[in-house]
Amino acid sequence: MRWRANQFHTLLIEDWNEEYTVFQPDSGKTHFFNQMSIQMLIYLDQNPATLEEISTHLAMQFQQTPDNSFLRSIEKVLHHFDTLGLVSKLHQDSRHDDQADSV
Amino acid sequence: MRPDLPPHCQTLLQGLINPARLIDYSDSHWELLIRLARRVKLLGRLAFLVKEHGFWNQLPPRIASQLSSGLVQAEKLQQLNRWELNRILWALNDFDTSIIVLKGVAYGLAQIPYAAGRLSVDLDLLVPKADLADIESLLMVKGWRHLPLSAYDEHYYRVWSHEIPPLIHAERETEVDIHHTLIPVTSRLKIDTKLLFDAAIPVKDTTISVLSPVDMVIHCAVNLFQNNEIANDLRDLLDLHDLLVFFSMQEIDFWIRLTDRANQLKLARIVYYGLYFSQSIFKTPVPEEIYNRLHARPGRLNMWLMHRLVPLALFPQHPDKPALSALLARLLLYLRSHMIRMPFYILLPHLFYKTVRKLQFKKQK
Amino acid sequence: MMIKQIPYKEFHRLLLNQGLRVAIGPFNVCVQTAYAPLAEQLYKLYCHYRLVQDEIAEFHVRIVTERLYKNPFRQNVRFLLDGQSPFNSFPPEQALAVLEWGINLAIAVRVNHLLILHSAVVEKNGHAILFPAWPGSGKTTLCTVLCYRGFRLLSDEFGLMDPRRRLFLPIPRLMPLKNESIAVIRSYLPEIVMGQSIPNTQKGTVAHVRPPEQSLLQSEHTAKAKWIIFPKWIAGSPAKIEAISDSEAFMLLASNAFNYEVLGATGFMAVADLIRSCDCYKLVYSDFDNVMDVLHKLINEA
Repeated sequence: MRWRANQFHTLLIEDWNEEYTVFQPDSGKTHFFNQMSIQMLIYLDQNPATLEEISTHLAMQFQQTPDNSFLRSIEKVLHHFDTLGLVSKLHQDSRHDDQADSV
Repeated sequence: MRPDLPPHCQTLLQGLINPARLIDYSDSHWELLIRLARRVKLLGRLAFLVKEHGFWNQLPPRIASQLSSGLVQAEKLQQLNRWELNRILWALNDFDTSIIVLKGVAYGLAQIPYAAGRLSVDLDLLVPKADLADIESLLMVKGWRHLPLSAYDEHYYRVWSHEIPPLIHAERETEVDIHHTLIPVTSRLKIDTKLLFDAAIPVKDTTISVLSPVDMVIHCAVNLFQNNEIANDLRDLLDLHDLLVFFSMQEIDFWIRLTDRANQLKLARIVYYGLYFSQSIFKTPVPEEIYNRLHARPGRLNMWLMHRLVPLALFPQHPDKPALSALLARLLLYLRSHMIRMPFYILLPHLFYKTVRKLQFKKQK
Repeated sequence: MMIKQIPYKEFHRLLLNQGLRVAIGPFNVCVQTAYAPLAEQLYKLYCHYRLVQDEIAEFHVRIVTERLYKNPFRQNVRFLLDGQSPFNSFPPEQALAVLEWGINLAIAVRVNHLLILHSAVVEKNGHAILFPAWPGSGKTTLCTVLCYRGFRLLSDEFGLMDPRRRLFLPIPRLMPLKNESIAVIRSYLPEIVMGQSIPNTQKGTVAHVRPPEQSLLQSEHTAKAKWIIFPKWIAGSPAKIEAISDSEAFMLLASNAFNYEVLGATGFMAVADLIRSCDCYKLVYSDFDNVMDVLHKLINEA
């Protein structure tokens, strides 16, 4: 299963020295993120990826070991982002993929 | 026949149907107009009309700031409603069902003029009754909750109402009303909802639909004259006017189809009221012969009464000088709204319960 | 014309009949009441406010009395906004507190053309200083001291910001001191005019401080903010100020504002700009002389 970022280009992002405030126009919410969260969104905006691919990419970028606990923490963030509507699952043959963006 | 309206109602009505005249409003007229429009949720609409007629820059600054506050609020509520719908679709992504979006959000999706200035508080959805329980439990799993209800209210919603108790997501504030039909179960009128689902219009690139134009009009009339108590519902009558004007321009045989559908759904009387009041208050161009196509019409006495009561209730009271006649009209229409919604054996205990609770509530405070 | 320039009789007549129109910062409020004790308190505490009988009012408020049907010999007072009642009724001695809360509520729920932060705002040397509210901040008490000791009062409650011009608008209101701070201020600033202490309100005992005349005279002078200081009163603690990160200041400010979310992207960009143009601090204090030294040092270094 692959993940991708939703409407990343609409986000307003303010950089405060590697801490970020992010405004999401669709939800009207302001989020507070660290560097890794932002990098995850940027990565998923560029190309949809599986949990493993995201972990490998971020582990490399932040010089972490992509072990199981790292993977689980990335998964947790992904699910949190999913409930916030910042990312979504890309099903192979789903007719539902784009609807969230068009309403 | 135009109902006689008190002067403050004229101030509001003229502003809505003749916006070009607003340019001549004095400061004190504007001040009153803003207060009245706010009371009936039409500040955003008024702001739109002023912008459309191009005299925003000539407004007194204190009026402009209040209109823009109203517009900001309307836009915020619409954004919240759209997001709530987005999250509902997300939560139901793996569940195959049909969802019809109703009222404010639907007007936006159907691109009805002025929909962007409309103040919509809740998100209203219609789903097949057979899927209702599954949808409710799926949403509860994903973080939606019912507001705390008394056992009586719970029973009322579950057994007699046309919707389940409102749902709210734990991290957001928009109320979601999920309906399985458009009229309370206790009412004598019954709607075959299959007809509505069959005619519904899919929204491009989504799995949701909106009601077909004629059904959207009928639902709007049903809400106003069957489900609600009419007090301060001017906004809803204006919705009806907007829908009628918009759809009759789009489709040549709209009026014929509307009356045929009203007859088919056995809602001709309600539609008669809708057309009559939209025309008499907002001057909607309803062709005269159309009324005769409706198979059921209100009796003369009924019409005589409604003609006097409805405008008094629809328009807001003067904020400083409430009139007794308008209070009385509201009370009578309140009783009417309950009588047509439920048979007496349910109605009397229901009103008794509501009165007692109101008194207890006052006491607790 | 200021309220103190009209005789009490005229003032009372306006409250009774067409309503007294008074300029409160950028808003005009039309007040009506037939409750005489309230009229007397208002005449004393509102005396420096500007009378605007011929202008448009944004808010129409009334304090009415009503008999209780449990006890027909007792009266309660009720607040009405455009004829609608947002609260329960209250004992009549709380009339002033109820009126002041009611006006605050009306501003907070209706105004969306300005960003409303939950913060006290004062001005010194042309720069605004924000003291945002958070639990235990004692912002009203601190604000009272500052505005009677050389700072100009913009507001003890509403950080009213024009989101496009990034300016703060003054909205000086009566400052409601609570509980212990009433006696503290009475002894620290014996010269100031304060309303009666009103016991047993929802927030305990409340007494309203009349804002300084100088601040009211300048209530059309806007100011750009230069400092955001999150205050915390801790008994016996020496005044200490330390910088906090911009992202923390953003979060504290945005999560405790009145209409930040309603304004959407406009609010986000305004707060971001505000944070960028300000130095943000946390302040711990207990003694007023002490805190003033710290603030003057901060201002003079700038």
